[in-house]
Amino acid sequence: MNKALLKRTVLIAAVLLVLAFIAVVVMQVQGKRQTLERLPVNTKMGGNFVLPSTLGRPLELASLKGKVVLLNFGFTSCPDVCPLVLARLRQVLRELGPDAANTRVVFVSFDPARDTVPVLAAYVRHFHPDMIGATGTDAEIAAVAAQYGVVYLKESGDSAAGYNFAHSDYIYLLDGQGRVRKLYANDAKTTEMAADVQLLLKADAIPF
Amino acid sequence: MKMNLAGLLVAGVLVVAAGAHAATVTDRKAESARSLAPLISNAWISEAPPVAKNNAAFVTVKNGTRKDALLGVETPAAGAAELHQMSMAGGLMRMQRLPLINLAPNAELKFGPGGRHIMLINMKSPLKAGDKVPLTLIFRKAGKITVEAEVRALNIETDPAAEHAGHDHH
Repeated sequence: MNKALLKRTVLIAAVLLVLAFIAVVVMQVQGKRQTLERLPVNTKMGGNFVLPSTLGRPLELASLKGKVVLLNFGFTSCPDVCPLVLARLRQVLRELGPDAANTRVVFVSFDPARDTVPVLAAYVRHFHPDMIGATGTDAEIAAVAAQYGVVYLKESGDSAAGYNFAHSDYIYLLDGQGRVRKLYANDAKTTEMAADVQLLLKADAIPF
Repeated sequence: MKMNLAGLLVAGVLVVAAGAHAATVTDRKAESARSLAPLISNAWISEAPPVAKNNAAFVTVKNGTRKDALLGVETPAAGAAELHQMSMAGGLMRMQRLPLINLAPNAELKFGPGGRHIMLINMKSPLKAGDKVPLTLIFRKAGKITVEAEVRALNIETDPAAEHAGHDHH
């Protein structure tokens, strides 16, 4: 092969490579935009918070940067629904497989009188060793609840269990930058949640 | 002669009638005894975190032909047991204690997660999946009926439509 032909071949190969690179970038940016459409950023609620947690140190939401977070609020004396939500989120982690390593489930209790950090730790770890429990003073929790639009009302009925709570019960999907991207009902399909988590992880992996 | 025949006829009819009546009453009594007791099935308790003070039990009650009411529950596994109803209204999950649940004849009463549950309060000891626990339901008419409840792990089944999840839709 003479020098001219070689030069031309290399040039064509280089051009093709650049075109291929551009195509890949365009496809990835498309994908990222589609994820943004599917899971728009909720600008009305959310934000960073710091609460005493089962990590052995306070949990600052921003420290989970890069991880997708599934956030839920409840109380451990709840006999039926709260354990069911955590069991559901455990199933999501199972369905995520290796992606579970970049996902965190955070359970915030609005019942600090009964849900001390040790109680919370034992409670969430029953479901999954990486689940994080958080609580705080009534004022601290009220502030975080307000950020996320969580309603919780202490009710004293005529039960031997003492007081319980009427409360909103959503699962909040937060992206790797801690922004709220979706709210799920407490009986949302695990496959939908897992698929959304994977969309966010994929979008986060794209640098542009 | 005529009088005797007539008398015999009347007597005969009366005897037959009495016999038939007696038979019906006995039959009805036997049938009542069979259909009085409510049938209890699918009694289970969720496997809660050992640290949890409270837990939930679920059951299906098929009432007999007699109007009745479920007044309460007892179990050695917990300090107290109460009937509770979950409901979602105005975006709020609520739990309400029910002092009793009326049972119409032949009615079926289903307890399930997110709906009605028997709240077990102050668990005596942690329960593990597979454990069997006696659960006594107290009815107004039928009295106490004890069944064995099975402890089941809270496993959420994967949605069968899962095969199509996770694929990109362009």
